[in-house]
Amino acid sequence: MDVLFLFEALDQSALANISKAYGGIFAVVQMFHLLAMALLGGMILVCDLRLLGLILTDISSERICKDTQKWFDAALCVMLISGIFMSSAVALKLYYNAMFWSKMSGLALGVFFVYAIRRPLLGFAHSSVNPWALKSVALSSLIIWFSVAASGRWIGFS
Amino acid sequence: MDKKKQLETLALVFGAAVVIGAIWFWSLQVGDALDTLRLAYPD
Repeated sequence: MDVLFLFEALDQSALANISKAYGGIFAVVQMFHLLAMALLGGMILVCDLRLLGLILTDISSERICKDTQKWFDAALCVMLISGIFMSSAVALKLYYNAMFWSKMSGLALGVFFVYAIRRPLLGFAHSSVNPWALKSVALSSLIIWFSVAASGRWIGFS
Repeated sequence: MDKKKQLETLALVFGAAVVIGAIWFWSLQVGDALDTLRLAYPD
């Protein structure tokens, strides 16, 4: 299914008029996007490195994963909303950029992974879960979100 | 099979697929970037 019409609609939208015309507003939204990215990355790192047994080993991994998940959810919401606004400024350019689609594929995979596998599995007592499955979850999470962030940066180089 | 066992299996299979996929994807990207650099700076 070709989604070019969605990008054309976004390019012609009121959102695009604002993002293209007001550099200050774009910069503020971008700041929130980057702050949310730092928060999301931080929450991922803290939870996954704890699951791998590398940091904060004196605190239970259940507590850390539960506490970081809510901040992860908030950061993801901010990133999605600010990301749509930012992409409206260069919607057609992004449509033809291969790395943008890599980033979106990684993001979709990451969201599926977090809400369909990671969160349900981490809802069980971690001591009752296969330790290799926990380590696999942590490693997958680190790789997926690193790839999403790196693909996002790579858009600027391609 | 109970739900926990299913999720554990899924996590292990998914993890293996992610590692293989990431190695494939990033080796392609880095290869392309190196080709571009070689074209830009032939010496």
